[in-house]
Amino acid sequence: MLKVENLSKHFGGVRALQNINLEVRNGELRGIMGPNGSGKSTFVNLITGYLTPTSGRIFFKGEDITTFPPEARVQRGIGRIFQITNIFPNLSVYDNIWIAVQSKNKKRSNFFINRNKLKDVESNVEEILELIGLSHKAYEIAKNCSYGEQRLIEIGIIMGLDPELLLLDEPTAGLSEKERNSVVKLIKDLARSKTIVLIEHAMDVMFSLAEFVTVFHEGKIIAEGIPKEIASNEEVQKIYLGEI
Amino acid sequence: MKIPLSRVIFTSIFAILFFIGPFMPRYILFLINEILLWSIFAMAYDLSFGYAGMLSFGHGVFFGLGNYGAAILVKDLRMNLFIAILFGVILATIAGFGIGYITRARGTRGPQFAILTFIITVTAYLVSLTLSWITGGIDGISFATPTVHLGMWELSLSSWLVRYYFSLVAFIASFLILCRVKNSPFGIVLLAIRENEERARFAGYNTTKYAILAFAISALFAGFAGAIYGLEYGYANPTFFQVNISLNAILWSYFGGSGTLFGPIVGTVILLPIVDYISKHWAYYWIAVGALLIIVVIKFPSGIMGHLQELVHPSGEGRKEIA
Repeated sequence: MLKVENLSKHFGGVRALQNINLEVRNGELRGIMGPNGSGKSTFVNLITGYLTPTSGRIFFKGEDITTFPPEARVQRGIGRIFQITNIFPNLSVYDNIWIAVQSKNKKRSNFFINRNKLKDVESNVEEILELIGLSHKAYEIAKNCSYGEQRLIEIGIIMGLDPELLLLDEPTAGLSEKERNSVVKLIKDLARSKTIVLIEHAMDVMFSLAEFVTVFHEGKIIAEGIPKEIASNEEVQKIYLGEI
Repeated sequence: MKIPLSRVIFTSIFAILFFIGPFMPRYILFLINEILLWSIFAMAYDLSFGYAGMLSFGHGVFFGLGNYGAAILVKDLRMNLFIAILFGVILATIAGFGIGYITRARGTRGPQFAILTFIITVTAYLVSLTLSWITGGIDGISFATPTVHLGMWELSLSSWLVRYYFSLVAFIASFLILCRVKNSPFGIVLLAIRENEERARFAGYNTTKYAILAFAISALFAGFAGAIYGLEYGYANPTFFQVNISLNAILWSYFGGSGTLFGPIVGTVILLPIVDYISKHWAYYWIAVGALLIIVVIKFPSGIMGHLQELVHPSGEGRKEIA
């Protein structure tokens, strides 16, 4: 599904990523972990088109997307959840989800029909609101929702985009225990039908979700394996303990 | 099927405006006429400002181009009135598309965009003064108001009543079209761009394309207002290229509620007569306009329509129908 070859990104003299080679198979839930500044977020930004690589190539379903703008990647099926909540603050929860669902519709840029006539979009939006448990807040303005609810809106937006490959950048950061559990549950549900790349700092979340884990350190891959192997890997332990 | 309240209200208002025409004194006809034409401009402006979040100081350029385009065709080439309007509108739309393209396609946003439109409008004004052989310089150009040929009728725009109905039809047409655009799938993408352009891109929308198109449509209707204004009053003037035309539109949109369907109209209906009254009695009325703008921006950030929505539906419920 996703393949990167010799991917590097330099910021001035800083080498954020160096020669990353990685392949994510169809249907996999891949975890990427590593301490702060290890290049995890840079990696997501390169895959989604937020940044362009210094060198190397990115393939999605066999197509070279290295130079594609973000919206073209989304249209091909790559979605992301941001590390910082990133929604449409002054629009209703309903409209937040609507915008995402509409982007898959053929009539998404039509400027002469009433959008309420798009009944398939409407039913899809209501379905998603049900799934994320925000039906009762459909017409609440998004910015008036709690932080946890905004996180759920964000996940609802992703569901609306219905990507084949989903990149989750620290989806549980800053959440309460209860909110964290509902997000973890949603990710498990999503994993049934999608390929997911999960970036996570918290080891417990990572090991409870990922099937296969890649560890980044100082812009390089230092370990790869199933969670059990990674947990017992000495170098990984050293990095994580050393950080504390 | 439930008919939205807003539709009932607006249909009634249009019906009343159609019937009262012949019974109104000249000053009232003049005032409603001004409100109708400037409302078209305000609605057009708000598509760019309130919807797509592009603060433009340059909409005077579009009004002015529509104004001159139509005027020159009628005055110098004795063209049909409707062709003249079409020409003015096309000029304004091309300018809107061009300015939208050179700013947005290069990633110009927010304050940078506002400053660029400001520079463009100042330049356009100065150029229009210099090109006096076309524009008539500081005095502008004036001409005999044309006649509307409708089948067997010949209606001269020198009559206040004809002007009034002409504007009313233009207003209703613009209103219906712009409501459609604002309620369309395209319209909500504009709101998404205003709210969070980055997120909109990561929702799969080519935001640059949407923004440029929105700006061009906005310019089209601004030009339409300018064309009709010029033909009804029989003049075109460089002052329309100036920045205060845009400031008026900001004031009306903000006061009525920018980013809502009816806000710009409500703002124009309330503020235009007030400012007109002040200007008749006080030479320094721009001080009042400036003070008003400051108060509105600070005290009523979501405008009358915005506050009304919050009053009626504190939780935001029903926004789908109104906004």
